[in-house]
Amino acid sequence: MKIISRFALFAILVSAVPAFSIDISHSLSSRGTVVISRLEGFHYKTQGSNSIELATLLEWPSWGISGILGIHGTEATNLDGGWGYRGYEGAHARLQVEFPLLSGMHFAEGVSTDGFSAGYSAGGATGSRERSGSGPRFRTGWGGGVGAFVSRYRETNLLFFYPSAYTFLFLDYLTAYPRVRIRYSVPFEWYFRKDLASSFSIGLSIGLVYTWTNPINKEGR
Amino acid sequence: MNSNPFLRLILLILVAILFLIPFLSCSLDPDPGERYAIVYGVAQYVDYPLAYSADDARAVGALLQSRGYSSPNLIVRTDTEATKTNLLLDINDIATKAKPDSLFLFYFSGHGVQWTRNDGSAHEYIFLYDPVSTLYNGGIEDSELMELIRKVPSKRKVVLLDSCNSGGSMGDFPGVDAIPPDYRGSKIDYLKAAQKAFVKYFANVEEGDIPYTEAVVMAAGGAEELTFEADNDFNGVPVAHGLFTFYLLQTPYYADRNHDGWITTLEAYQYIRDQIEKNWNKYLSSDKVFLPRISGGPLDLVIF
Repeated sequence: MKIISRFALFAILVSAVPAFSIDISHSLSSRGTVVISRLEGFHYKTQGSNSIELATLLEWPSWGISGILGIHGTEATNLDGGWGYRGYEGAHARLQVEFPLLSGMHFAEGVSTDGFSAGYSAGGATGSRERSGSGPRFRTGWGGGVGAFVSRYRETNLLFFYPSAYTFLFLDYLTAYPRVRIRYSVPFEWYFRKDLASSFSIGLSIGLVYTWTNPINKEGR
Repeated sequence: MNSNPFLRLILLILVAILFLIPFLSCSLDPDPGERYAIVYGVAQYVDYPLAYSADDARAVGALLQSRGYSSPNLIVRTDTEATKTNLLLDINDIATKAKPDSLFLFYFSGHGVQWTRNDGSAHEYIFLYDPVSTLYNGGIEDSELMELIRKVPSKRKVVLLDSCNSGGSMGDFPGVDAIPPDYRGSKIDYLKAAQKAFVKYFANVEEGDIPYTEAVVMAAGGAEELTFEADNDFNGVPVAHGLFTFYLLQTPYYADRNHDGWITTLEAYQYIRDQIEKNWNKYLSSDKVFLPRISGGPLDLVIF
């Protein structure tokens, strides 16, 4: 027996979570990275890589956790010396945690409004932005996570799996819309690929984060 | 915002990355340098003779010569010369001359077979010429072929096999093939391959006999497939080769997708596979279709 729709249930949950100091957000981001790899007996070569990711973020005052699904594509390397590393593409999942470092957002009364202070939660920040109306509207943080990738070597039907671990710095910048922020991040990722001696990447990610919960003022956030 | 040193550092990193990215696509020199090749083809088997395998080898030898391979580093043997004894001698000869930075290519056209032993394990063979019986002394098991190839000290090795069941000669880690070992009647299954790839990562299984660390192997068909030679294609155009070799011979003209003047293993593989699928498999009954295979691993090698 269906009493309430799934959407209604989602709406109820979303409206209830602020009471538990949780913000729920979704983000869509694009990541461009430089992958640097080496096979035993060969030297390092670089590959350009791109991915698109959809994330669900749960944010508490002092930390956050995200589940991410994405697709990725990595170009083949150059063929200098008569050889190169193959390109590949596929899908991946990530689980990551993140913590605030510095915040230049203006917070609710009683919290620093000039200079930097620790802070988290888009809701809190957004509420204060409306109150202050001027000054920097950003926050920074760092995080880390693990990933699982299934990729296909390009031009083939061959699939391979590998996990990863990564860390990143991020900068959230508030937009004119209270629920929306832009997130820039610089990820460094290490891939545990068994077909290579070593493989890692560094890059840049730009994403749009939409917070479902109502922006509210919470002391200390 | 810009007055904060931390943010300026981040911006500096981002700008540096943006400037570095264009250099990734620099076109450097793909010339494979010093190269060696052994090309064998057998048609005149005592039992079960073939029509075009010796011609395949001669044509591939000519192709390689036109693309920078030259005697004495290019050895072509056909029919009665293409014996196991000569292969051992030729491998040993090249093993003394090739260096780690050389490219080594082994090509074979002829009979191949997969035999299942009593313990259920499958083993693939290629057959060189033998004066007594096709299946007598000329057979080389894939693990034996790997040991022969291993003698050559080159880091870059390519093995091209135009024979039945030749796909079983390549290691199946990393890179689980979504094409089943018998393409006849079976569909490409990426989900199943992804599950296998996940399991293999943790099981650390390396099956097959020529691993990706030893050579990039390109095979005419899967471990459980027959491959074919033909007089003409379905439009009446003369073929007179094994189908895999027929399209391999066309790769210098049609497979160079990046237009750099060089053909890599992946460019050749994609072209040959697409042509066989387009020009043969769609006309044939399911029990006669086959697809070329290529081994996994991260390397792509310029072959000519």
